[in-house]
Amino acid sequence: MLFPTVSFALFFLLVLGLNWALIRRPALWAWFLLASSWFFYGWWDWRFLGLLAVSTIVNHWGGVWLYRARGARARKVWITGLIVFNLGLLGFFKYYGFFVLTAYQLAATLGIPCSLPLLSVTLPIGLSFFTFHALSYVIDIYRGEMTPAKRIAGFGAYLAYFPHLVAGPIVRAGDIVPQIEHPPTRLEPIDIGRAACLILVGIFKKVVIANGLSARMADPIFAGGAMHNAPDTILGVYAYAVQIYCDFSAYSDIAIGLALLMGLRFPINFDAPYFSLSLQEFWRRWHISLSSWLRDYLYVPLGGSRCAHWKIYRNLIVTFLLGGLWHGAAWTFVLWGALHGVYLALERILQPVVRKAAAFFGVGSGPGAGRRWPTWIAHGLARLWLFQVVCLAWIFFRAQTWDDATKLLGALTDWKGSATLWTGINLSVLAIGFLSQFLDGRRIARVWDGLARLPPVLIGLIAAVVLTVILAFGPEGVAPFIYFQF
Amino acid sequence: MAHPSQHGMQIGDDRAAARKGLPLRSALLALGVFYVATGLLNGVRIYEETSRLPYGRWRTVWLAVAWPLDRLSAMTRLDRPRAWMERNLAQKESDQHAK
Repeated sequence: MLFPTVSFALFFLLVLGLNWALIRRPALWAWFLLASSWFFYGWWDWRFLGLLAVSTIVNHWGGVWLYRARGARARKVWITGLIVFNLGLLGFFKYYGFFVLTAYQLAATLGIPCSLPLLSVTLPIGLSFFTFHALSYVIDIYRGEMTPAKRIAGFGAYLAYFPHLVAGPIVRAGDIVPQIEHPPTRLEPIDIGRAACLILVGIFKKVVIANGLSARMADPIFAGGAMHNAPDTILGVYAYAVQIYCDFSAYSDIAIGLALLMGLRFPINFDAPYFSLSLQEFWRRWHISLSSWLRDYLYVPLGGSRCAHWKIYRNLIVTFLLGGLWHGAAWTFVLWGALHGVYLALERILQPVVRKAAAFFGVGSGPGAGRRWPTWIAHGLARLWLFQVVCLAWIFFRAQTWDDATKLLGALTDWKGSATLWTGINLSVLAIGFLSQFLDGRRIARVWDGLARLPPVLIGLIAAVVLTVILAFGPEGVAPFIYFQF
Repeated sequence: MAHPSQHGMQIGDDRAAARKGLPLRSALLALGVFYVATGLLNGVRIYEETSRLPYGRWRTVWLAVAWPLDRLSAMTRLDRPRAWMERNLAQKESDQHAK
């Protein structure tokens, strides 16, 4: 069930009614959340319900026994076993084929035989997300940051909760399990202004902007390889950068809005990432739930920033390399991640140079700031530079193969011919998508509150009209969200 | 436990603490009106898109669900605004224009 479809609308209507009918009985409510989420997941592919059930049982009871274990050694054994179990699931379903093919290619290059079995393994939808949820749960218990969920239904509902199950945000057990175990009362207000705006904006970003950018610019460019010239290729890459932002942030927005309507709070996942001044800042604003997960469970355990310089750079590159691999079983994703790791390391290395240059040109804070160059010019240049750097990496993320990526890079040198994609409507869609970042965070909180002050009937009518307008401008049918493939 | 703001929970938590929003009944009323209005404004198109599903049991079920929406939407002529927008602004063809 995709979010903006009739089947999901009917499913949600039923679930919402039962949600508020059962919320006064926390135990029953948790089972209801679990059952409705498993129904949602089973609708995609019932064959993998068993996998979700096994993950729920193993991680819940593993977490309980980990919590009760006495002695550091026993706890280490438990946490190691649980991490191996979760990564084993992810490794087998997502990466088996990739590693075996790579082994075959390596063996062929080295002239040695390779007889690993080639299996066709279907990737269960949402596996990457619920595996990371389970890992954060057991690791937080190990670290003493939380106690196990009181009931398996509470943990299972956290793991499988349908708004975030398939494509995030990657929510922390410590934020969600307490909300499930101590649900809101029916006297607490529902933040309907924020929920309605998030859902409608999300549908607009997905149905109109992301699908439009994909069909008009991104897909033709990435399918065409070297067939297009530099101006069109550049626009196609920019279009993909905005498409993936709109597509993914749309899913997150809709998930947050749906959860709000059911009385649960999720973290935000995007905060105007392309307005960042540095790549470090970009990763505090892009896919916030993943970058904070990687920081807390990979980067910091590796040593984080509290070690020798070369180790910091190593930690950054390893973290982002694995972050890239998380996105997909392909070397292009690994290269995308590695690029970001290297960028971040270079940013750190060049930080003293940049500070000196900023002081020389009178930019930024401190004495002399703005005296020679207005800050907005420097910030504009920094944002422009950041966008180019991120777009260059997106080429590898989007390209199907290394060959496709290199063809596209080659196309950037061809300045002959006219720019056929630079039409008014294409540029308008691109600009609207880019500027939709202004809707992230709290920037339109006044709109949320203003909407909530209207009579309920009017809120419903306005939302229906806005949705109708959005659907009128959207294409036929609904394309899956990009992050479903991860 | 790690501070929630590090995971992006701050906005939701702040608004919950400030008790932003509507009482449950008002919120459910707004949602009910939204569903009814959306069904009436889009009923004809919903039926058209449902009729393009692959033949089978589920298509029959969804058509049965969509048919009353289609009839109500057409009877009340509330399908006209969307049809007008699609024809004149979005420049999309629709089966209903062939009727």
